[in-house]
Amino acid sequence: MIKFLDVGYLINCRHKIKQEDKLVVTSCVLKVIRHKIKKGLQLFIEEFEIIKDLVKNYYSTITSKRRRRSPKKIAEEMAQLLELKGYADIAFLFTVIARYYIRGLEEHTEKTLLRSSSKVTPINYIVYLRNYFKKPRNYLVFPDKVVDSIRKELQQNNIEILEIDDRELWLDLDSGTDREDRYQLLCIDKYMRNNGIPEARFLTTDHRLPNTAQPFENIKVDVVDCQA
Amino acid sequence: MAGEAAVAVGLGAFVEEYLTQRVNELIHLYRRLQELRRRILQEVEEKAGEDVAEIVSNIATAIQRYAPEIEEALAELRRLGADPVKASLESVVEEYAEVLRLDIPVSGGKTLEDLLYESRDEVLDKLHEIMMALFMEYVEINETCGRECPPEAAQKLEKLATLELATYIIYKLLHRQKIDKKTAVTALNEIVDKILSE
Repeated sequence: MIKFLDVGYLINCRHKIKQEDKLVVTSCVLKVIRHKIKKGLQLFIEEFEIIKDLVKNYYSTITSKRRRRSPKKIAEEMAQLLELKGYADIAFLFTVIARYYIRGLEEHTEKTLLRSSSKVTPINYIVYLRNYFKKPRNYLVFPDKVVDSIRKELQQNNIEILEIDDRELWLDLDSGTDREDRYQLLCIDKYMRNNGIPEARFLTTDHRLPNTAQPFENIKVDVVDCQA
Repeated sequence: MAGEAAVAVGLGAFVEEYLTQRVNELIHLYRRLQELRRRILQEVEEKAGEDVAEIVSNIATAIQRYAPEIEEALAELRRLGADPVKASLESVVEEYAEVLRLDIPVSGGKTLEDLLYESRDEVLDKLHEIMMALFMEYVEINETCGRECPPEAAQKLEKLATLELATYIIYKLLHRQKIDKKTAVTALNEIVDKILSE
């Protein structure tokens, strides 16, 4: 049976993805990621002073030498910290930075921040990131760069990307906390109807998704916990 | 023993003296530029208010006034085979990279890193942001400017150099209590935005 992946599964369960499964992703998932990254960027810049204070508090008790680590490690810790403190959108941004090689950002980090050492102090890293995203051209292209990186990885893992004509799907949805989930479900439903697929599975990390998916009887939702 | 003495004073005499002479000539000119910079800073600082745009404009005016003397020093450096802009750019990148390691003791045995994590000093935070922003921009321009700087990069470099001078003036004004912390933070914030605006 065809298995669709949602945003959470795609980002958090990379280590569980096996080549032998027939896994697919709709273009709508990539659109949601782009949208979430845009939102994360905007909030990261707006809430920067608060985030900087969180970083200071979190790392201030650690000695200078032990505080230094790779940017990827800092991004991963930041994602956990921000999730815990209720900044889920910014946490998503950091999760993606931690897990993907994003062209442009990675090269820039190498030639500036990592010029003299592979390990950096977290305060330098977040000020660096804020400055990087504050530059208008970086701010504008970053969401697309993220989607490009994810597309590339999906292709490398032989996960098919199904292009869905979603013009009316997103606009027809009323706002609500589950808007992005409903949108992903509508995209899958449209693809199944257009291609005569009677049944499919939808892999997610979101425990609320089975509820949202109730109206879609032919889509079976599997909730997977991948935070390992 | 005389042989050893001859070796001690003679070995490398020509190359060292030749180089020293050249380095001294260059140092003299760089000191001249430093002296001109100090005069510009002093002049601007004396009549500075708290408006960044005004400070930037005053810096530009002062630089214009000193332009003939600055040009004279630059021409002399070029005559001696130095490329003053390229050399300054390369050294400023290295200097910022070193300062941004944050391990230099700055006050009471504490490093810049200790102060950034422990203190709640907004001015220090802003200066750190500015240093990082300038470093990032200078690295990019340094890559763009090979043998020659394209006009766009040269123009940007001019803007950054003026903003760097403005940062120093704000810092001095605060230090001399001519402006308060809140005003300094607002002005420094404006400078970061201007540095990263393109």
